[in-house]
Amino acid sequence: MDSLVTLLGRFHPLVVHLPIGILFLLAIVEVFTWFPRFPRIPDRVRTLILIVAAISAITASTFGWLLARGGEYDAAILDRHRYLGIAATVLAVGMLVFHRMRWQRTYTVLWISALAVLSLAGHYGGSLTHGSDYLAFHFGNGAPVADLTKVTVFDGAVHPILEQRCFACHGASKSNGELRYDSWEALEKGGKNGPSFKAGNSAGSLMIQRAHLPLEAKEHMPPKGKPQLSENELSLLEWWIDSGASRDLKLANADMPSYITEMLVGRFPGLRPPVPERAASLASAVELEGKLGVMIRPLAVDSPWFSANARQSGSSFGDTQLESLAPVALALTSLDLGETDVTDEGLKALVAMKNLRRLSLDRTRITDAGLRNLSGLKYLEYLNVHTTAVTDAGLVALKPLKQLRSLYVWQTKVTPAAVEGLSSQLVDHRRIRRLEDKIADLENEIRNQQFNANFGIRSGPAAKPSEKPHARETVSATTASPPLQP
Amino acid sequence: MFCDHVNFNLSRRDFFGRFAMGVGGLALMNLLHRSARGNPQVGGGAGYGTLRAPHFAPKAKRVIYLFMAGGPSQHDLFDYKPLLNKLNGQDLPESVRGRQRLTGMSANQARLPLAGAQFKFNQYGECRAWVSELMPNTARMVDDLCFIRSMHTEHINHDPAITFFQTGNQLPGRPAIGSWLSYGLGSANENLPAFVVLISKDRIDQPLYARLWGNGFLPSVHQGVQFRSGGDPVLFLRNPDGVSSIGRRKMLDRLAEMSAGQFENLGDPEITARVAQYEMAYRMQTSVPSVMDLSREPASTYELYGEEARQGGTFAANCLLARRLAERDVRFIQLYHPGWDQHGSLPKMIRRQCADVDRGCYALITDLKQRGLLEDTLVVWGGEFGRTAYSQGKLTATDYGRDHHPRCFTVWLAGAGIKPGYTLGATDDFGYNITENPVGVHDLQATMLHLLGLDHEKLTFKHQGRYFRLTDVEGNVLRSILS
Repeated sequence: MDSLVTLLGRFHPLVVHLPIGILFLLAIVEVFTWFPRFPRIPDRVRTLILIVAAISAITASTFGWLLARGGEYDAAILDRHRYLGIAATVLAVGMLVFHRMRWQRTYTVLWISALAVLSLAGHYGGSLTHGSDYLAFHFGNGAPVADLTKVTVFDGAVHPILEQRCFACHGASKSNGELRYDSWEALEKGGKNGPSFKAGNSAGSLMIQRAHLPLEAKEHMPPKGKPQLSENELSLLEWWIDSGASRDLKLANADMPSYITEMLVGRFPGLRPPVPERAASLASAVELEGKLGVMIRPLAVDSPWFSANARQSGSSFGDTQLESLAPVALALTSLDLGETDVTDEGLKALVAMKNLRRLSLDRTRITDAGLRNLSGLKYLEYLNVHTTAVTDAGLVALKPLKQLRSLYVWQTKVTPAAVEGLSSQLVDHRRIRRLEDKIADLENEIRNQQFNANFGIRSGPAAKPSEKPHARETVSATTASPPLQP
Repeated sequence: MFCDHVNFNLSRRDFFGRFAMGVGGLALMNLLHRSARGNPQVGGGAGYGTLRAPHFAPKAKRVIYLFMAGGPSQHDLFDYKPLLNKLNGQDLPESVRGRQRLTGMSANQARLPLAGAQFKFNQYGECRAWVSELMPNTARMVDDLCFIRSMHTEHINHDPAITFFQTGNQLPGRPAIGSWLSYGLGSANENLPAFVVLISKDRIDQPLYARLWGNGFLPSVHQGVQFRSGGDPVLFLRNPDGVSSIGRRKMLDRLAEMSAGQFENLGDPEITARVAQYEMAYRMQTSVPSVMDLSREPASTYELYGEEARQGGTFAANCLLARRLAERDVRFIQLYHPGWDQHGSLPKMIRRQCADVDRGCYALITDLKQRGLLEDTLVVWGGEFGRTAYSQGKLTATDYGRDHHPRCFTVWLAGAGIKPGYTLGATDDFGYNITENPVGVHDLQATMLHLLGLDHEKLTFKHQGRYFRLTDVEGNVLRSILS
């Protein structure tokens, strides 16, 4: 029975368009009848149309109610959609009734209202199905673009933000402050306050400065009340300016930090290297395990990522063996070559292991030269080179590794100053500051929520927390026999 | 290497060729069994556990559990209660104890005089954690540690309490944590057992039974193996006098040939498994002495761990071995340091105990850290229960004792996936009851498994018609201490 109900509910999207279509067409025809030259609709035809509309509206509402029982929808939007839909049905029935009663004015008022209510109900219905941000701009939306060599960072990522947030006042229709963003030339030129951006210097760029002003400030952009730049959009604009504000840089060639990649990857899936197929990696891993005697295991039951550990093989694992890991190169996220016989030459095999996050090379014969092979491992978080011949010069190769969080250089010639220098280059201080601000905001919100909760308890009928034990005592006193009076 | 009575025992335990512990051949047989997993017909590829991979990507690859057997006094080490010093000698208020039971050892005392710690406390590190003067080195690394001040257990006597901590149940017969890991995840090193036990010598006050690292109802492959501090680290592993290594090799080769014939006739996978186990034992003849051989450790090692680390069987030496085993990817390294059961003369005794362990703990954490191992090694420090706020026996100006107290005590964790410089939970001003975030033993166990990539509710073994798990029917992962 329940499944039948569910099945009927599923017909709601199908049936619902019938009354919508009928009522809209009827409304159009009614408008035309206001013109004297247009023929009048025969009453009985109108009655027939209204009967069909009313019946289909009632059916659609009923099915909609059944569908809503599934409870898979955003409750707030669902409620609006539900009551607007019912209102539309009531209006449709009302139209039929008042048309039959020949209350012409009431009928007219009703069909105009029905039109408005239907539009709104339809909008919320669409939001339920497609998500409330269906009409809003998102990086993730739009058809995915495969070929990253054809799209520039500006066209693919920057222009859509400007279009969404700025064009309304700085575009073809309006050019406040003599500023227009709707063509590259105009954008580059800037407005009456000067250019909007300084390539390579987001902090010195007017558009970024304006965006960072408090919302209340008169010069804050976009102005209060207008849709604001999201955290991500602002980060992206800053990154684009800092990386040179190029017009021609293709997405394929852009060296973007991971948080920018995350923002864009919905629209441009090619930005993230494809996830290797688990089954194929597993087969290669088992074969290699047998051949090399090293452990190559998936990180978890359903994970496509693998870790390899050659440490226990010691000196019997060298460059040739490392090279033979090629079939699982892309699947490896963790590789332990500590205490093995690998050399600088052999580390060339690591270039292909683009997804590595953890790499141990401790107690091997590697030197600074070997570390140069790591420059492309942009996801590397952990690098262990303790007890090797690595020196300060070797750390230079690690500068592009923006994700690097742990570097072990115990018993090497690396100096604390060099580590300090590297770490200051790897850390994105501005982003950290912004995240700290965000944390502060969230903490504030938590405090407010907690305050509200406390406040609720105080004003409500419940006793204060400190009074609870007394309350319990009172209860037990009344249920037990009354104490004897002295 | 093998003798007949061992074989006899194994048929007693399981007619179809599952091995058992010979009286004394216990450790050896364990080691042999481990390679059963090395045989594809028995358990899959080399070193695989029952799970082909963890439930989810693990933060920790291995655990070092520094078990402080006997129950260290939280009042004198980490849980600073100035009120006890203020009320020193006064009776424990009835309202604090309520109707909670005491052990038989102090229940009949006429008075329960509160005993303030006779040691100075200070706050250390950026996290401002309180540590007493007894643990100066631990105090130096508080920013790497996560204290749980609100541990509690159900058991008030040593044996059930320690069994509960190690196996998830107070009754003997359940597998130890390390055995569960070996069963679930297998071994990460073909040449060493997945579960190794090291016990400090000369400090025994309460017995530590082999069943604390026993496999319970799991296959005996998963039993912990004790590495002894003197003589042969693993019993019966060495070639007997008069048997050369070459002779042993030849014997094993010939035995393998014969076994191959036997396998052709009978098709019993246990035959090939046994051959693999012989090979494992053969490899261990070199791998175990190499891990136990500290002669190549540089002088800097002993500067860190202290000179006493040169002396086998000390806690410091065992910490050093633990690091060496961790480097070799042994999954569960269990240290026991007994001697914390200070019912009387606590101030004197606890000084000695702390001197035993303080530097070793610091050295171990520091050493793991500099080698990059602390990021994937979980270190746990703690006993089976805490000690009372009141004095057992007579309280004098310089002396007091403390009885068992299961209602609150302190443990610390460090390393893989643990929030450093953090404290979870709090106790009342008497250090008698928990006031915030109580943590049960199953919660701690669930958290340990979680860090190793295991869902404690899913790692089960069917025995006597029921699916058993380490955490029985309880346990919540302590998400607030995860980094």
